[in-house]
Order: sequence, then C-alpha cells, then structure tokens
Amino acid sequence: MIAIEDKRILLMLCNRDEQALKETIAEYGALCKVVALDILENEQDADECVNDTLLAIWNAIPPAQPENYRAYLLKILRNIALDRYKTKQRDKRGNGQYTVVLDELADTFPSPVSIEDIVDQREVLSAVSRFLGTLSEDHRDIFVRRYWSFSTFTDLAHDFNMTENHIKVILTRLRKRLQKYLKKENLL
Amino acid sequence: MNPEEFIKMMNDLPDEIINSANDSRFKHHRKIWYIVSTVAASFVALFMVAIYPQIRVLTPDICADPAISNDTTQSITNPAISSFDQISVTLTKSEISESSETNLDSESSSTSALNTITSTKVSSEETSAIVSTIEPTTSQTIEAHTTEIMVVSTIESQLSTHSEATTISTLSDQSTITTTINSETPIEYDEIKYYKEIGMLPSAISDDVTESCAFDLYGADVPSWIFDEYDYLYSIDFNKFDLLLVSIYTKSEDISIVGGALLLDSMNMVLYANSLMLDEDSPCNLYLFFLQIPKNILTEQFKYTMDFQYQYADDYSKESSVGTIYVKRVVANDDEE
Repeated sequence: MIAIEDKRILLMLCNRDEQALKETIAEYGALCKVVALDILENEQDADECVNDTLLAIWNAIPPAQPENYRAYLLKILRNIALDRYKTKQRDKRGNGQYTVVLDELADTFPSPVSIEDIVDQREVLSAVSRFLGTLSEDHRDIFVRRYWSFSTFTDLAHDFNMTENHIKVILTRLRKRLQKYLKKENLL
Repeated sequence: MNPEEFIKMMNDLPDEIINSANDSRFKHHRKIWYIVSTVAASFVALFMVAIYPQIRVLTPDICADPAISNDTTQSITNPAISSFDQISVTLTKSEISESSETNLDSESSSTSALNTITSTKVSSEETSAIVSTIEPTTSQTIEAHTTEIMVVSTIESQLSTHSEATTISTLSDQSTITTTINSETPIEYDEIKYYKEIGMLPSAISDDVTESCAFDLYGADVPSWIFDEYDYLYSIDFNKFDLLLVSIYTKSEDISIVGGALLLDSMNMVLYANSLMLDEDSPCNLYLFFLQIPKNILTEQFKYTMDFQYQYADDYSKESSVGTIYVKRVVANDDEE
C-alpha cells in the first residue's frame, strides 16, 4: 500500500518536478542518511551517497514506477553505498561493518562456488524470505538490519533495548537456523 | 554461495521486510514517546479526577454584604448567597401569604421556619411518566406539556432540610424573603434537580418562547450562540412556572447538568456537554431539561438572571470551553401576585 505522500512524490517525479527531490529529502532524508552511515561509516560519504541516490531516483522514475517508493529508495541507496564502499576498500580491507558482516557470514555461506552455478538466485531469495517470515518481528528486523543495512551491534542493542551480547547471540542463532533452513531446501 | 552474493541478494528482499526493519530504528524513540504521553495522560486523568471537581464548582461573584452579621437579616433584594441541593426548597404562594406576618428567629426557629417550607418533589416514576409524554414536535406541544408538569410539580411532600447555611427567618408583608447567612463562603452543591429527555427537534420552534417558558440553546457551534445574546436573551416570567424547560439542540453525544449555585437574585447552572468532540456529520440531538425553579425565586419582584454556563469537553485535549448565557427574568407585575 503506497502512502499518500509517496504517491504525491511519484506523481511529481513523473511530471519532472524537482520539488519531488526536496519532498523526498524532507520525508526520508534522515533515514537515508542513517542507512548510508551504517554502511560507509563516514558522514561526508553518506551525504554524497544520499545525493547520488536522489540523482539515481530522478533518472529512474520515470519510467520506473515502484510500488513502494520508500523501499525502492532504500534499495538504490544501499546499492550505491555498497558500490562506494567497495571502491574505497579496493586497495585495503578496512574495519567497516561491511567487512565485519562478510566475515560473520563466511561460516554460514562457506561455498566458494558462485550461486549462479548452482541454482537460480530467485529461489534462494524466495527461501530467505520464507525463512524470515518464520521469525518473530524483532528477530527478523534485527537480522535484516544487520545484513541489509549493516547496523552495528551498538545501534541494534539501543534500538531493540537489548545488550550487545544478546544481539550477537540472536544473530549467531539466526545464521545457524538460516543455514540449516537453506540446506534443508537443498539450496546450500 | 558466498557472503558477498548473499549480501547482494538481500537487496531484493520484499519491500515490507525492508521497511519494517528500517522502522525499527525509531522504535526506541517511540517507546519513550509512549511513556511520556502515558505519564502526561495519567497526570491529566489525576487532575480530572482529583482536582477538577473541586475547582469546577462555580463560586458566585456576588458576595454577601460585609456589613451584615450573622444576626442580621438580609433582604433578598441584596445579593445574598444561598445554595440548594438536589431537591430545591420552595415556598408555595399560599404558605407565603399565611406566614407573611411571622417573624422567625434565625437561630432557634430554623426548624419551625422549615415547617413552613414545602418541597416540591416529584417521584422518579412520575417524572419519567411526564417526560415520556413529551414529544416536542412543535412549540405548542412544549407549552402544553409544560403546563402538565406544573400541575404535577405542585405535589407536596414531606419537609426536608438540605441547606444549613440559609434559613428563612422572616417573611414580610411584601412577600420578600429575608435570610440569615451563617456562612460567608458560598456553599457548593452537588447537582441541580432536573429531568432530562432526548427528543427530536421540533420542525418549527417559535421565537416567542416567553409564554412557553422555554429556553432554547441552539447550534453545535458553541461560540456562535454563546456570544449572541440577542438570540438567547429571553425574558422568562418565573412567577408563572415551577419548571423551566431548557431545550438544547446540539450534536453533542450527551449533556447533563452537573452543578451550579443558586443566588438569591439569580440562578446559576452549568450545562456540561458530556461528550466527545462535536461531530458535524452526526445528527443533532434535542435535549430537554426540566429545571425545577425554587419558589423563593418565584416570589421575587425584580429581574432575575438565569446564568447558564455550557461546557463543551473535548475528549482528546480535555480542554473545555465555557460560555455564559444570561436569561433575564421579566419584572413580575403586582397584578399577577
């Protein structure tokens, strides 16, 4: 269900009204900045990432007509932030959350074989979505926050009113459950 | 599958999951806001329950003459203060004439003075019977039923003493009532006795409400009629009636009379709209209140002021707007007495 505000912004974008970008910043600017900061861990990079996202949105809509403008915006932002992070880390492996997350997932997804070689990516995605659907809302949000937007343990502990250790335990268990689930589905 | 592919794939998760996860960033702040608003609501509730009932009772602006001592009788023409409880203490005209020559000592004979007082008391069954017969489809029917109520209201019952502060000590030849004020502070009372009925709005309400003794308050928009004194400044001859019909046409869910104070030269009541916000889309209700008019007011010879305060409560903000409507009593002719 599209929010009324999102509908208005989409309409302005279709009419090539630059006010749409200002409305987007007013509505989702803070959220975009936080997500970008989680990945890039640098305020200046995060600001540039948000600006790049707005440009990408401007260029993509139209013809794109996303059903959920907010999620669409965040996905584009995440892609741009990840690309930017990879570019910056090309020569050196830093200590950013992205790197830490990759290390965390190394045990869960140890196979060096590319996923395209085994199954269709959509099947895996569908299985992950089903797996997430079996979780409680808090656990699902914690998992997605960690592996989608790379939130730190500190932020997660603050937002979910838990200790960092508790968050770590939850994520460890969830990764194991996901691995077990994907193996059961013959996707690992 | 390797971790990078998994991370990349995560971007294609359903929108709902992504939105839900990002909403969780503000959950913590939301919880704090819930706590703050809950505490604030608790304070408001505490205020409404514990403090508001104490301060909402109207304190009459008119104070007793400081020159009048406890032993001094005070004419009703002075702004003396009295009070009444649920059942109004009244004097019938016949008793006034019989006891007009009697001087009663204020302290020792208060009981005997009360013996001259009859209380107009209508049982609840009778009241409901009366009210149920009233279907005000026109102003004429209101008049007819008002007369019927007057007949019933003359039923006299046993004596009761409700106000220790005011005792009727002297009845002069001119049928004026003199009082002794035992307490300088106004005495609060719980509730005015009234009978209420919700009816349909009459198709046409006559502007001439004097004869029918009807006091009409219209409109859902409170301020518009509160300050329009010409529309609601009616002259009502209280000498003719024992009951005053107040009809209020409003979109409020319910209205009840919750308090007030009786002054010797005026009557002060609060109509409290016990309702949520006025809903412009909902149909208007007609609330009919039959207010028992104390007979000691009826015997007065000069203009009275009926002071109505209408409080409209907003359920969300708990704020209320209060307006005052004055209904002046006509000067009673000596012929009628």
